[in-house]
Amino acid sequence: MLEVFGVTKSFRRGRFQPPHQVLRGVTLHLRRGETLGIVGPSGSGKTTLARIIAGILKPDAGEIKLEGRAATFRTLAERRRVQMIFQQPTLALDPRQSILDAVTEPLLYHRLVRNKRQAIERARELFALTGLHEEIFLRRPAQISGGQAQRVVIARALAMEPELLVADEPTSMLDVSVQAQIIQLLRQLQTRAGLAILLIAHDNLLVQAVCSRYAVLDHGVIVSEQDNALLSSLHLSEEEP
Amino acid sequence: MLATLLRVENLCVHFPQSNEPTIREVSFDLKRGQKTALLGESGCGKSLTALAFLRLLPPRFRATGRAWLGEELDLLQLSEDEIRALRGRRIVLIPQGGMTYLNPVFTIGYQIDEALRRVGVVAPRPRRAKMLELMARVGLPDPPRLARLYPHELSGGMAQRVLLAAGMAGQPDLVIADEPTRGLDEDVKMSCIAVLKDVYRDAAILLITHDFQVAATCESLIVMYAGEIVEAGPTAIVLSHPVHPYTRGLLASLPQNGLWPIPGQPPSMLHPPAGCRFHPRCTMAAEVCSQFTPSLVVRGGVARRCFFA
Repeated sequence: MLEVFGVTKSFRRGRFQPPHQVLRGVTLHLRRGETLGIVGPSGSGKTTLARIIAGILKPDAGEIKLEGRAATFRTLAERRRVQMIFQQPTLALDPRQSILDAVTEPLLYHRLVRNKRQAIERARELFALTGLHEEIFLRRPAQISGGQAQRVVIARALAMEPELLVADEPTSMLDVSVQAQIIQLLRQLQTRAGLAILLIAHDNLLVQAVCSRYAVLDHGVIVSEQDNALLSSLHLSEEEP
Repeated sequence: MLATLLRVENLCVHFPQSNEPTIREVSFDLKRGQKTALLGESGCGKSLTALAFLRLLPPRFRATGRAWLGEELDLLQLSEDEIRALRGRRIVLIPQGGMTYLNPVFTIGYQIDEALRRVGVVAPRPRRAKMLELMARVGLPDPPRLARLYPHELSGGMAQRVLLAAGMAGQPDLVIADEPTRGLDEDVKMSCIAVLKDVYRDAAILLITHDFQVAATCESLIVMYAGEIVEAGPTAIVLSHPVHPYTRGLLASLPQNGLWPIPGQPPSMLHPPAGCRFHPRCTMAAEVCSQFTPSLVVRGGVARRCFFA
């Protein structure tokens, strides 16, 4: 469903220095409902790639196709198809906005609901799906834990009913037990909604535990891509939402 | 038999707002030449425990208990001047997040030099020689050039090493490293730990971490949950045969063990649950767990705080 052809990107470093080429021709593809892992050391261009695929950055060259058609991210409907979740969930939320508003605002903006009442209704469903309790709805991001904030960010992404979720280091700032909760949540959402997930991580073990296929990015190029033979049968736990 | 350097007995920390101790009955020994990992998730009181016996708690926090350094010094009873004389000389704290602890307006060299002056190396020439030597020992490349740089010109791993170098100024007996690897890359992380162990070979090291990989490099391990020690013992035994349900839960949630989550959320540190603090999330919990507080029991060299383990 996602095809990326020869994407390059460089950033300027000031007037007298050559631009820093972060991505030098990245090509990859992702099937519907699949989880593809991207691993690589810091500075290899993982986050830049994620931001380009999510339509936040424009590539210098290369092409991104969704279901065979070039993705332009020009219309609201097109932007909804790819959603992103971030490394620092508390920074990905507006500090002055309540948790509830963080999810209802995009619903209203994209006209996925007709009025505020419906938006709240829908937000409640999404919070139930991501395992958040009613009592925190009116809190601000600083008043919830990192794990809860990541659930809010996931709920906000799901509100757009995306086909592809780009997860940029979704658990590297979280504790291991919370990491397990968030990864299990993503897995459950994937089976339920048929989401494709692009999981970016620096932790090889994590990627090997959840991805059916993974690519290694180094200095802006994919140096290897392989099916994950080690994929241990992942257990979907019963009690956690 | 290794000599005990620090013996912490029944350390409790009270938050300003609460009467109940939040950190409760923490006791452990640190031995000379041994590394001990204090493992736990964010907000479980790892750093507060260390800050308590360093007497660096935030205002209006209270600590009770004993912390014997050597035979005769109780760190919690010393006067402010006496404890100040120990910090930086016999006891060193390597804080987490190299970048935030370096002063952005002074060069690296100046800041290491400052530590040397503080421990009483006075003559400028030996001080400079010593500074360059320290930088080389922690594996910083090209010390004379690096000494002229400012913190923002370094990477996170290098900044962490600068703090290591500054900490080595006084040849301490006791080193407390608070998350020395947070935010570092995998390979940099392990080399930082290796440097730490090599540099402070004869000191007792308390390594505060939430990372199992880092904890596994220490000889003994203390696992904390919600302000209490739940399990403690030799690292090899605790990691291969964990007995406390929390330790088991943590290990099972690692990617290589199948990512089984521990249900629920860690409790609020201001109002921890009655009885065993882990019981609301525990799969083995019974009636007794919510009514009585289990005490730390040593069996087979491993201490555990659980009625059923």
